[in-house]
Amino acid sequence: MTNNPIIEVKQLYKSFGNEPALNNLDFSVEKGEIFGFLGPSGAGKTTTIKILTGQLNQDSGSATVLGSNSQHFKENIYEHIGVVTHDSGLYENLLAYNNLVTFARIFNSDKKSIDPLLKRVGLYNDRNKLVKKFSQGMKQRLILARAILNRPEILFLDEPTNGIDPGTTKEIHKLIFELRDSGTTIFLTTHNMTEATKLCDRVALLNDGKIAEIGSPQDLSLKYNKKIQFKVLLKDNESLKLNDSEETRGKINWWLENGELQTIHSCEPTLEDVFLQVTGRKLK
Amino acid sequence: MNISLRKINAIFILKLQLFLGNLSLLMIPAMAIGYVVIFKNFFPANTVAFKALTLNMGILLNIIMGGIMFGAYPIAEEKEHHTLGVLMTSSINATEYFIGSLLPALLILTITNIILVPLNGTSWNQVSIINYLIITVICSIISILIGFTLGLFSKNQTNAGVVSLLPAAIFTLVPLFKGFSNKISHTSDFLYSGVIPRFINQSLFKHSYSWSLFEVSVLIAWFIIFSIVLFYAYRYKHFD
Ligand SMILES: Nc1ncnc2c1ncn2[C@@H]1O[C@H](COP(=O)(O)OP(=O)(O)OP(=O)(O)O)[C@@H](O)[C@H]1O
Ligand SMILES: [Mg+2]
Repeated sequence: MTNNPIIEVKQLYKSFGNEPALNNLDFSVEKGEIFGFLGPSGAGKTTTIKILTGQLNQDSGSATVLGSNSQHFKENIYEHIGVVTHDSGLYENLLAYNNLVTFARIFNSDKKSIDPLLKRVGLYNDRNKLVKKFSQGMKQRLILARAILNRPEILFLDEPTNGIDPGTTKEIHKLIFELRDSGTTIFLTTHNMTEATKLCDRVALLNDGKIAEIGSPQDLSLKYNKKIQFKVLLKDNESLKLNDSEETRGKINWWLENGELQTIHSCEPTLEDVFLQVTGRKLK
Repeated sequence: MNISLRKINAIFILKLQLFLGNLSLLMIPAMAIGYVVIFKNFFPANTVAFKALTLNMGILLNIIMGGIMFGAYPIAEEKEHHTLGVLMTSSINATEYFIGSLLPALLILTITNIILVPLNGTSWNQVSIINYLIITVICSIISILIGFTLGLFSKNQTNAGVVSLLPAAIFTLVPLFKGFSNKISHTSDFLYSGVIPRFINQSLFKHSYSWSLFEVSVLIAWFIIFSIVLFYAYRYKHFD
């Protein structure tokens, strides 16, 4: 990785009243990665996104995005940023297509890119419907389409699949990977550890406004893999969980050689387990 | 602050599309037209006083009620559907947004104002079209600015309709009833909407109109006051 982060956050502090919502966050995001903020409700995920996108001012510390201080954004920085939060709305009384055309005009992007984009999010056949007739999942996909219309360098997604059906979730995940592969940096938040594990190149575990751990999902699982265990299923359907030891390895070898083994898994902790270990708290 | 004509144009087209799809808003200019047409054709008391009264009523309804609603509704709609924040995080600044929202409203109101005069049976020989346009455009802009401010303080479109009614009624009715008492007449002189009946009456009764320094000052004062009020209202209200 380069040492030229696209987002750099230093000692970021924000409180509402007495309780700090963000308590001196430090992290940076590299160009081209999918960076996830994983944490339970109230951890400070949305607050962080609002500050990083210039919609809220912090009390102290700094956030630099694409080289600009988020407290002093000029409007044109938004030509390079896409934002999707819970309160990203749509013009309900306009056609889906006209919603996108409006933003194509704003960004001066080619109107010809709208149809392929609508196809990509599976809304092409609904392009001439009023948005108020859309389901929640359709609206979410249209909001996402709008956020990437200007081919942003960074895309901020606040719980992009919250309340979305599994089919749409899968499509959104696919889209996020495609965007990453085309060079877009993605900063997303989620309280879903499966999603974080699947999508993110690196995650920060956020709890009570503090970052408890940061790293790739795999590195974190391995780091907290204190007690190595194996789960095996034998030919006679006997299922066993064994602690790693000289004896266990001997047994496994014997089963392997004698064709006794149906399945074998190592039991490193999930991000959920890591979160519980680090914070003493469950994700949900 | 950079101002991009392209972005103003994008907002202009957006708002025009929304206006043309919003029947409750279009009802107001339609009512102004309907009012003038009905009174011209069904009450053919062809006195100058009657003509002046109907024309004043039509223009005030369009400019004051219409202007305030055309300002308040769209902003309340943006707040209700959480789209204002989206525009602001899509590189639109406040100036571009307000100019882009003001112009299509002004266009619809001005077209209505222009057709009200012949519909009322008044000739452009009696009313100087230049003065008419200057006065109606300035008064429409002030109404729209008042509407923007009310819209920023509304939670949703229904709420915007409710909070707009009282100011709209005051600015419409006080100038209309100024003949009733000296007090009302005096108050009307200080309202921006008071300039309209004075202009129409002088044009129709005395066949000439000349600007007074006092009227110019009243218009400028209202314009400046509501530009400032809007500026502060926007600063404190737009992201909640
Ligand atoms: N406008 C506000 N006024 C007061 N408190 C707030 C405000 N916004 C957030 N908070 C508080 O700040 C903390 C962090 O909130 P935030 O919305 O960032 O959490 P989150 O991680 O996004 O949660 P969720 O998963 O529920 O969306 C919470 O304790 C919340 O109550
Ligand atoms: Mg949140």
